[in-house]
Amino acid sequence: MNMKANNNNISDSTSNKMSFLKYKDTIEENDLVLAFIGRENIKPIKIKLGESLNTRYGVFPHDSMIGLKYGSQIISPKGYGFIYLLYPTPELWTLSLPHRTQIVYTPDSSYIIQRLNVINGSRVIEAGTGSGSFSHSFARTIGEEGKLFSYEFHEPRFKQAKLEFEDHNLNNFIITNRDVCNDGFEISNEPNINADIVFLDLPAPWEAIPHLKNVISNNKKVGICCFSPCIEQVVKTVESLQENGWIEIEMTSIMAKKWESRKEMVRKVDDALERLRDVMKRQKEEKDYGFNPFGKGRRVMEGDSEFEWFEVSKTGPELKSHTSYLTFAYFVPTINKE
Amino acid sequence: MSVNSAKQRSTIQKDDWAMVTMPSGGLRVVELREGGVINLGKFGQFIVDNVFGYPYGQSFEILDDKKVAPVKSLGFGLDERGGASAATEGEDSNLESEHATPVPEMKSSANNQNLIDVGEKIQKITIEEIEQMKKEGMSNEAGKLIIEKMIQSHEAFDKKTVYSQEKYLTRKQRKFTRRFTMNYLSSSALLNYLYQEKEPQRVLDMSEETLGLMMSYANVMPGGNYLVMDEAGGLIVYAMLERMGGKGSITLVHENDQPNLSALRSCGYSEEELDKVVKTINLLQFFEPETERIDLFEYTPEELELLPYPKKQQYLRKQQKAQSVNETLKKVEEGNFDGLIYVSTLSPITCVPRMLSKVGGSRPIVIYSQFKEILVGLNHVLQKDKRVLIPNIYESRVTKFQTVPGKLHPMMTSRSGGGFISWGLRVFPMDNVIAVGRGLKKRRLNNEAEAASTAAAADNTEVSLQDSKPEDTVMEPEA
Repeated sequence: MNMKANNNNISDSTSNKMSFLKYKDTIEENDLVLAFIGRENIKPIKIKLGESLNTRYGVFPHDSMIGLKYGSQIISPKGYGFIYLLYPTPELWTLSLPHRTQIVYTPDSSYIIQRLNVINGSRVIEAGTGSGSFSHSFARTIGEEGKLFSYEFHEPRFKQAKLEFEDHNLNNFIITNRDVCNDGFEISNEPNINADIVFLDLPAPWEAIPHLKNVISNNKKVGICCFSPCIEQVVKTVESLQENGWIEIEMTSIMAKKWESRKEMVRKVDDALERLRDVMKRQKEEKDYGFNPFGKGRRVMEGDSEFEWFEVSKTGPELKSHTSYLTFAYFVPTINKE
Repeated sequence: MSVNSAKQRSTIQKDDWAMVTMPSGGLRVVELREGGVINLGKFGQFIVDNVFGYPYGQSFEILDDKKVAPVKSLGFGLDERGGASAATEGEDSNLESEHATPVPEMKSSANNQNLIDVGEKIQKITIEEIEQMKKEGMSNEAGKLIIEKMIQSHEAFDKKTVYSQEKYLTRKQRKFTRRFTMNYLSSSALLNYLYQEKEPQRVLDMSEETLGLMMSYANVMPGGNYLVMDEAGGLIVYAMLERMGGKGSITLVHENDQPNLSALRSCGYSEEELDKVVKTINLLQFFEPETERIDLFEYTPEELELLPYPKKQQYLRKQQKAQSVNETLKKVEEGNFDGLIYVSTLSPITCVPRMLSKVGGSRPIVIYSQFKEILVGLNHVLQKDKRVLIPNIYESRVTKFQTVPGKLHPMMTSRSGGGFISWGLRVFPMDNVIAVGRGLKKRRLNNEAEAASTAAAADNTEVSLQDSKPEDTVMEPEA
């Protein structure tokens, strides 16, 4: 590992611009804020004097957000309903970004970053850029000493991503409008790309793999991950990797689940028996309400202190059961000693 | 300096710590001392200096006299089919020893119809003979001879299918080949080593994918300032140091008098370098800083000069320690950390809520447990607490595949477990929020809140967290 002596705490620097590569504490004009409206509704807003955010809980003027700390809760002028003002991180951005393509979600991106050992200073090739979700994670992880080379063949998406990266102050990237399968990865303004990490999210990664040899490191082990939803793509990719001298080829897939904490009422059989006896008795006596151990006929909130509860967990109604296959491999450059 | 870092992680050099992978898949963590010999047991031994200058990831085979020669990979037949031709087509002659053991020219069968299981009788070579051959040579050449002999003495080898022959060969190669790969000791490599070669409990059963998920959800980056509990022997700190590249700060809270950071022994940082980034503090110091501050008697410089040498040294050491402890205490009192990463068997329910005030706004809270139930309990507490937004439990599991075109399938067995994490964000809830909801115009407000929350539940897209809280919702009998 590389060690640097400078121990600069970048945490609070109120005069600094918001960036995905560091934190700041206080919201200022032109900062990006992720407005948390609900679990499935996180809205990116750029703070501008005089503008406001409209939600079903009311109108929140930007002016009222300036000077607040990130993490603050604000109440709608209506007096109920709230939003939280969150600091942008790649993981939250993934939940809130405008989708232009299918995106790489955190369980996949975090595994790729960990397994390929993407760290401070890594030089990463990413093709294609897509919606730029993974680009943010890469940029954050490699820091200002690293460099992200991103390629997108679709021009409108390329332009949009470029604007976004600049706006988010990812100052460690070069994005290129290019079809890498046909035209390779070389770029004129950076003769030594020297990448040690490659991520290919392309329909035909096997067409791009042969072009890599000119742009990957020639003195360091290089890691690659190809991200393809179909097994047929994986087979072609593996064959291409083998033909081009990549080793330790392994295909994997990730299954991720999100669990919510819930409470389930403890309903005891003795109570059920007691209630039945009570119901029988009341049928004879024609009385309306009797022994009611489970709150029947009432609206009982989960966790109501009148009842006993199990603490349980449950996944949401839908599971992402397949995102893509992740095919990993490595290239070790040949060193001629002597 | 970044150039230096790239070099350090790229090339095998003296005094590094590295990970050796053996043909069996076994792992060793080794220190590369100049002039040293590394012994891989039955896979042979080699002089360390011979691997210097090659890139990490390079595989070698062991020759006579503990020398080594680079080879393309540790993979055998099945793993690396097709790879061989590509390597030899290159300009390089170093990799001539590519085929550790070429499959002998033998007949094979289209299927296993004529293959009858007669147990070990099928192999005419005896264990004693193999042992004898092993003694005769420690080079890869000797290993090859054993495998060739075993195939020749296998009475039904020609009745196997080509695929089955290859499988047989691969199995023998994993046993008798004298090869190894020298890898950079990444946090993943260290995790796999601790899990596989030591015991899963050393890393609290944490998997590589869960470690990765934690690092991403905690937004670990160069320059960050994190609050950490690490009961995985320093593995978490190791992974963070790797990502932060020495920039930023880690405040490690530990349960015992001294922290257990044994993993950092092999991180490649000197003690002085580590001290600059990793600040350690025990729980008592963390929660009661005012009583734990060290007040050292101060000598004037003149008095200090008059002290006898050993006493002066002792005083200076004490002074340094006091300074460092007091600085850390001050840092903790200031709080505003860029995130909490909690990996401990100490009940998070009792500890995490008491640490929250030290975490800055909108910064992530990541708690690891190998048991989901513990996190379920914690999340109930956090939901009530309201200082943590969207606390949810996340689980990630990798499936690995046998990656051979035409024979692609998930591995038959894999490690289970891997742990769970709870991820939420530290927020500042408003104090008067509930008061407004419960006070004036209570009934109207409550009805509106209920309407909003039912509407939200119905379309399942928007649930303003506060509105869905039991406290804010009317509870009355239906009808």
